[in-house]
Amino acid sequence: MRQHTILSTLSLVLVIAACGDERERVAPAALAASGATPAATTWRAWGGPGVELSGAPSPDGRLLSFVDWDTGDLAARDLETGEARRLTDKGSWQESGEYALASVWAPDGGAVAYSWFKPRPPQHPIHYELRVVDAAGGEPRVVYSNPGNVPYLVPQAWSPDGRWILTALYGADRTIQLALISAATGEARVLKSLGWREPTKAAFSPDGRFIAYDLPAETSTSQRDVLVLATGGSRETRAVASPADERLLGWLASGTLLYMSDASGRPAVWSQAMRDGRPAGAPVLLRGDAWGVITLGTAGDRLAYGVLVESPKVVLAVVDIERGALLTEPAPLSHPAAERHGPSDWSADGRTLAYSLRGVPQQAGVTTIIVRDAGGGATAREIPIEFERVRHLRWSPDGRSLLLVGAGPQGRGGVYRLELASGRLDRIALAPRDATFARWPVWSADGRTVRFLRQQPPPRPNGVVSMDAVTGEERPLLPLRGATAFAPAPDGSRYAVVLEEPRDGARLDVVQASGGAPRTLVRFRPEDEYGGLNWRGGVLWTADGRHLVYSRARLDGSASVWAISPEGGEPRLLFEDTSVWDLRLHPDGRRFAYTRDRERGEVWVLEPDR
Amino acid sequence: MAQRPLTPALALLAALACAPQPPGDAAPPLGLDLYLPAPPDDPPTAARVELGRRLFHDTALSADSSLACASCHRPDHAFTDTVAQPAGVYGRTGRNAPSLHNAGYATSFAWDGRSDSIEEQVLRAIADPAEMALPHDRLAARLGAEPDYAAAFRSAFGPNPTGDITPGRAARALAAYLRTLRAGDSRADRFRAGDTTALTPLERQGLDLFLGRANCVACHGGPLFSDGSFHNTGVGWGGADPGRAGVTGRAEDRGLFATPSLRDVARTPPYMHDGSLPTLEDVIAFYDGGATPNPLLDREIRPLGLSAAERVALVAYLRALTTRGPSAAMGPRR
Repeated sequence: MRQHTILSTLSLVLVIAACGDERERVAPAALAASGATPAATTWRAWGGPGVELSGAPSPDGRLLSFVDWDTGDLAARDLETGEARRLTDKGSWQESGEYALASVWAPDGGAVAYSWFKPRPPQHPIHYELRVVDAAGGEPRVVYSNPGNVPYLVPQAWSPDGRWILTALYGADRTIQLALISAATGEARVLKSLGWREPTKAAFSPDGRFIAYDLPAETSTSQRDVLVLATGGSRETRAVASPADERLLGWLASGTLLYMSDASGRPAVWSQAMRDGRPAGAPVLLRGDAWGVITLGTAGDRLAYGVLVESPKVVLAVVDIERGALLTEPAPLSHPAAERHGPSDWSADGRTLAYSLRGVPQQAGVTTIIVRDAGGGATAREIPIEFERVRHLRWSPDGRSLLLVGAGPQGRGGVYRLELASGRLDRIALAPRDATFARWPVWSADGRTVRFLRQQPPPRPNGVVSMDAVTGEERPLLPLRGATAFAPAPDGSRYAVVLEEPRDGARLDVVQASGGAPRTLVRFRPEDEYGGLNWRGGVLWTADGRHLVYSRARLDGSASVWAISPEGGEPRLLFEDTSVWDLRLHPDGRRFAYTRDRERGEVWVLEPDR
Repeated sequence: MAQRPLTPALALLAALACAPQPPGDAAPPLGLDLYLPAPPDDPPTAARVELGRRLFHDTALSADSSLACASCHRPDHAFTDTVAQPAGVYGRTGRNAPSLHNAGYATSFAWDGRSDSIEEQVLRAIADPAEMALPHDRLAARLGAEPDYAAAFRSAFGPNPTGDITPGRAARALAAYLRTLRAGDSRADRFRAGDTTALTPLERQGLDLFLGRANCVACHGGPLFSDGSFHNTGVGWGGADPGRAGVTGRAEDRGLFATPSLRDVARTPPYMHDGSLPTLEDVIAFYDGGATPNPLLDREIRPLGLSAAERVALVAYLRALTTRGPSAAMGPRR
């Protein structure tokens, strides 16, 4: 089980240690005390605003591919000069919602292979292609596209001879395959099917005869092994004979594998010499206390990696809604950048707060649910569950279970219930394949049903739906087209609803649960002083039904939280933050919890000493 | 893209050759992995595969010389049987004979997962009183009485001072042969590879149900259409067969049985571990009704509420999992 207190402290040490800009010999105190000798030099290659950690280094290590999120284009940054240029030119977000994601360089540095989000609605709303673009720019080429059968893919490495692109294919059945895609023809050859287990990294050996990758030992565990598979499929061996959690970082030009391992009790970077696809000699510790390392890939005998210096956090704030006064400044629950927090919720009795947590780098398929004292006291429970991503988390009225909405076991989107006493996770309902998740779930007082917002392609119904909390059977309650958030009034008589309007506008309405004409309270435009409506923040009623709380966000994501009477009138600004997602209000009507969804990283380079 | 398989023996040799190979030198049938797990340092030479084929079809491996492996795992029926529970030497085996197609990719064997390797499983089947009932200590003498076996074992494994014919060698030869039984290249594989014309609209509707509302994919995912795990569907609940619990000894494993591959499923009736469902239509109706309720029923199973047309579509998709042409796996050499 994750030790959060240790992780918190040491991650902070890593972050502080990562602030030096010059090359440094890394000698963490813990390692020096243990007698181990770190054997690598590290230096920061890219820091400050705009750092992005989805790309890979060019073979000469000079360039780093990344996604320019101003447009979604693939771009490359010169790590020496700091200059960046776009390799693709898709136009603005208004012109196209497509974007690049993962990328790898051709061995001669002349091209980049990358995944490209290319939705094909209505049948295939999620679809990624494998594309190649010249490093000098130009017209991209679609190498592999299999709508419906392979909705998602991640290029992992380019073979040294330039003929194959090792790619993780994510099938419609949500199983994953390691495949070689011909860079010339797009022909796909599946090397190995991995079931519902996901590799974090795969790499070719320098001679192209082998592929290294990591994989959880079993579907339900986060404990990973590093494996080496012959590219012809003739054999597979473990690269590291250890019961510890290991994950691949890369394969250096000298033939040495780099990997992370917690064999020493803390995550550390190790190297393992390889010969003929098998380990040769003992592994060597390169760097201890390497929390939150996200590998980007190797260039020659160097490893480029990212670390987060800021990650999503649950934030608490205390507010006097009546007066519109902030009583306690927003403050995160904890600080370690190697922890990503997800949605949170207060229990109905107000005594506990629950939230989801994922590590950095992400442990595919594993989320930890944290239950802690609402007053900021000790953590009461840590429950690891097989869950990809939690979108919403809600306490049941009796406080015995949590409703989780998101991508659960095997990556299946749906509504689940986690029994806290047993840790048992039960599926209530699967999301229709072409519909959104159940948004903004709300328990009924008796805990027998859950109301939520459903969006799916017409002519099927959109709007507020009631779901049986045991059988998952759905019943439409109120049709609503274009709704992005909703909340029922405490007495159930009305709904507060956030609705999309033309040209990125939105409005906050109150509608009778029985239907009828809506009453619009506020209209929002993105160009307003406080930005448009932030539907990711949701909308809330206070327990006495006298106030509605919502948030706004500017284009840079900075947000503000507001209150307004459901009868109308002037909104009151409660507080501002850099980001506000999934607002939850304590039963005392004063304490807010929400997710500050900000992420900031740095790129570092590690070179083993010779 | 469809690729014609090499002959299985050659394909296996190529796949398992010690020297690393560039991609594509050992193309399996479409839909299957290039990597085929096999014991390290035990190459499946042509002589071993051929010896395994001969043993597979030889009734000398049963106590009364009445049954061969192929008696219940019939090559002309996707290496399974046509009866619910085939008879062993001393009567009923109590379970349906599972298909041996793609056994080389499996990680556990038999309905209760009692064996971790093919080698282990074939030795169990030979000695099991409910199956072939031939004690291992009689195997060498039994095969030694047959012409050419000693020479065939020597040719496959080299001379052995304590005897050329051993149960272990027989198991390795049988395993080498069974690893050649690779079946793929169905219309569903071609569709999955990107040929949008490979499935009919009805079959595509079945695929959507398979992946979606019918939730078949919760257990039948991946290239083998199996998660390689064990589930309680309630089939045979209350009967004498403890299922996985007979191996683990854990009460909560009662009624768990291995998820069978769905490849060539239309060729392998009857269905379920006890062969109790005669047709695919019966299987779909069984799951549509929520299977057999019991305290340990798998949590993924619940009534599906399928329409008659949807049940037809699901069956149509399952029939599209049939290997193109005759089975890719070879029967006895004539």
